[in-house]
Amino acid sequence: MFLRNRWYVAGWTDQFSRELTTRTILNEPIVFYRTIQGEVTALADRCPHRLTPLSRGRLIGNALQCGYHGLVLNADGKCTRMPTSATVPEWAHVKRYPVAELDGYLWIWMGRAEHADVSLITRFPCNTDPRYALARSEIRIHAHYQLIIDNLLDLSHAQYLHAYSLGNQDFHRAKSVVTVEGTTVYDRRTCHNTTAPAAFEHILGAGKQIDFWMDARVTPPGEYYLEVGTTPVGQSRAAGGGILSPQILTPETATSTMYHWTVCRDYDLENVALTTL
Amino acid sequence: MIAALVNDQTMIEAQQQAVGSHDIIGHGDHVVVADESGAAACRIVEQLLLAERELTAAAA
Repeated sequence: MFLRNRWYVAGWTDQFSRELTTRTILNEPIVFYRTIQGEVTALADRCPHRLTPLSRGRLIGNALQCGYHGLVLNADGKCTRMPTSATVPEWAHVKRYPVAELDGYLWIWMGRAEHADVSLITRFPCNTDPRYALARSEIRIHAHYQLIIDNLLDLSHAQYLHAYSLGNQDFHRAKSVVTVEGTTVYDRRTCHNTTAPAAFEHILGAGKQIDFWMDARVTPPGEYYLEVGTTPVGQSRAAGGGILSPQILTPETATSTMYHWTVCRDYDLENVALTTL
Repeated sequence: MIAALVNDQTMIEAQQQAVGSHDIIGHGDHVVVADESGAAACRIVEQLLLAERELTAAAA
C-alpha cells in the first residue's frame, strides 16, 4: 500500500523536455512531456482505446497521438480525435496528474487532483542556491522504500558499511536522539572528540580531533534531509563546515524505488574533485 | 558519495531478497525491526494510510 494523496518526485526538471519520457510511480505508468509553452504534462501512459503505452506515440503540437490507431489526446488527457470515428466517445480520456516544478525537482501528485496543494510540498532550497556547489544523481534500488528510510535514519551503519568513507571507528559513541514533530521524524547524532571520516577530512584537515554530527530528518513517505558536519572539539557548529543533502525516495513498485540525492556544500566551491567524490 | 550509496544499495537489496514481502515494522507475524527513528517513520506512514482510507471511505 502506498500513500496516494502526496507529492512525489518524478525526476529533475531538466530531465523533461519535448521528448516523451516515462516513469512508473506507485505502480502507475506515466508519460511526461513539455508543451510548446514549456509546461510539463503528465498523463497515464495507457491509451484509453487499447491500453497500449501512449509513450510509443508522438507529439503533434501540444497533443499526444497514440502510435497504434492514431487517437489524439490533448494535454489534459482528453481525446480530441479518433481517426475511424466521426465522434469521440465519452470514455476516451486518460488521467492527467497535477505537477509542480520546485527546487530542481518535478513533483507529481498521485492522489485525487482536487486535493493537490503546491504549498504542501517540502522545500529544498539548497538545490538551486548559487551559494552551494551541487552534486546530484539518482539510482534505482530494488527494494521497498521503507527499507531505505530505515537505512537512512539508522545511521549507526555508517561505522560498518561505510567504514572508509562516511563513518569512523568512534561513531557507535554518537547517541541517537529521536524526536517526532507532527509527521516528521528527526534523528540527531553527534560524535565528540574523534577524527573526521575520510569523506569529510577535507573540511578541517586530516588527523585533527573534531566533533562530528549527522542530523537526519524524514517526512514520510520519502522526503529525507541530512546535515553532516565537523567542527573543532568543543566549538560551535558555525566554526566548522559540512554538507546539506536532500535525498528523495519515489516508490515505483513494492520492491523498486528511485532514489534522488543531492549533496550541497558551501565551501571549496570550485573543487571539481569534491563534487564528483 | 556514489561508492557509499552503492554499498547501501547492495545491502538493502540483499535485505529485500531476505525479507521478501514481510512487513518492515509494526504488524504481522514476521517483521524487520527498525530502530527507534525508523519505527517512528513507519508508524507515521501507517497513520497516514489509515487517514487516507477513512477519507476515501467517507467520500464513497
